[in-house]
Amino acid sequence: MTKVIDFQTDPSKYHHWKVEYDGPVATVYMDVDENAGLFDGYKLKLNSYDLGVDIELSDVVQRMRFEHPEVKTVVMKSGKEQVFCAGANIRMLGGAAHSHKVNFCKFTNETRNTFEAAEADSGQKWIAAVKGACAGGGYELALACNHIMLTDDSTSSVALPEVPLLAVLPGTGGLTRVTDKRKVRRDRADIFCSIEEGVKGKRAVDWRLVDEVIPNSKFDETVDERAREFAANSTKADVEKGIKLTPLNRTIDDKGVHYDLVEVEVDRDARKATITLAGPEADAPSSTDELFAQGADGYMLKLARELDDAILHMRLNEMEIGLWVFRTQGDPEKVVEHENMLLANEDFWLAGEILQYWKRVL
Amino acid sequence: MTSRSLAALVEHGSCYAGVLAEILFAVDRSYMMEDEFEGDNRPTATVTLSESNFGRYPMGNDLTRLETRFLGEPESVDKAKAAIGEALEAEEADELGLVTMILDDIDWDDEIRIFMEERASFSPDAMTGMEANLRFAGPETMETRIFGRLTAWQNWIFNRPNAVGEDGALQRYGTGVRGEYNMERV
Repeated sequence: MTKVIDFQTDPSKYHHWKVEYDGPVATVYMDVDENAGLFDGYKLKLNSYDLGVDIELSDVVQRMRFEHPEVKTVVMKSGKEQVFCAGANIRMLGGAAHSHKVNFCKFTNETRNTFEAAEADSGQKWIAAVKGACAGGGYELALACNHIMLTDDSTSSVALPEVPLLAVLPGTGGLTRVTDKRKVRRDRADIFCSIEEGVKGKRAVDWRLVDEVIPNSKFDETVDERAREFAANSTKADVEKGIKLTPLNRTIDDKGVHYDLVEVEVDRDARKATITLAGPEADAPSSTDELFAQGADGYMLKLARELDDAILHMRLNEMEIGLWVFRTQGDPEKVVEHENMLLANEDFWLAGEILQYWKRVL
Repeated sequence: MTSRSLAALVEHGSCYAGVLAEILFAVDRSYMMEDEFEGDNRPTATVTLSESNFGRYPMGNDLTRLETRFLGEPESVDKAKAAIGEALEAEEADELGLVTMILDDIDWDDEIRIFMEERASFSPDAMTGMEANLRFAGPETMETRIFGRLTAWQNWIFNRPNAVGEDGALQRYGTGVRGEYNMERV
């Protein structure tokens, strides 16, 4: 796997996700294109995913925060008829190097954590509307949502079949969220994680695997009703309009990766990368209007985005570099001014989001 | 979050302040320049703490990096807090425990070189294991359980023939034949 994996994308390039915005409610459809896997050798059947699918989801989550701050509830649905999501693609996992499996799991875990925390951090609540089979990584996607709705029919169930079927674990938070978040009794969790067919209907609610089960005929309507209800009860302030996350100015070459504020210099012989962050040139924005007008060009947001991308790039594309050395160059007083501007205006949505983003990057 | 060795150099002309100072507490080791360096006319190296270092950027364990750093000496967090806004030079930063080591012009190049060469020579597996354990001191949360416990077990299983061997379950998936397991349980 020598090709460079790019973590930058935008909605015009999505293969696998569709997002509809309707005021305070957004609906995110997972509709995986089985022929658009990141690597050759497998098809992404039944809404199964690989790293490429997850890079797009991560982009959806990030843009929801910055470009669509008006959204208070996000509904995750499947764009396919019979299946919600079949989890990580097994052929991809079977063929991937150990290091890729590890990195894939790390990235998917971070994406799950990010949309799970969006409610506490920014008042954006993700809910899962599950129709059809929802297995393994598919149920793990639902588990990271903070409300799970399951349709009550003969084919719809939630399952963690990894142990009996694949001899691996539901490793994207599955085991942990079942016990720590859903607080499923451990003997029931033991049964649930050792059966292939999963649990459906009333038992899924009784065991706390989902929050509600709804007859198929009323499902869509109830999901919409619930989403509006959550939005109406949200404490998130009304925001009219977001900013645009414009493409990063980035060059990748033999020597490393170069951005406006971040410079990554790779020394392959020494197995070392030096990551230099530049301080701000300009003064801090004097008002929230100015911060908003600067958008993705503002120092604090731009630096966070560049550093985030640099870390992801290095992790996946420069695996033999064992040591990362951080440097900074610039005026420390100006850094403090820029950060203090955000801290003093934390209630302004964009300032809050930039600070939350730094929490995630660090 | 990464399984790489992380170090930070606080050189003259640097700007580790507030959010960027947080990097010093995220890395495995930090080295700071002390006093003048010959032929270097950049402003003296400093570290500046801000309010944000005391709660705005919690780790996965829900503590701040400084609280985690000073788990055995919570009073050091208060001492650091009293220094908010001051541009701390090497000796002061060292006194407050904010950097690993301060080095003058004579020792800087050699010490840094030795550290880097040593680091690059260690087994990456052992480094990953050591750093993952040392970095996340303190209480468990759902997040630390996912990244520390679940992930580590999964990565172990990902190395075992029962999952990834030729006759393991991942390879045989979809063939209609079950995986063949080594039944020794450890």
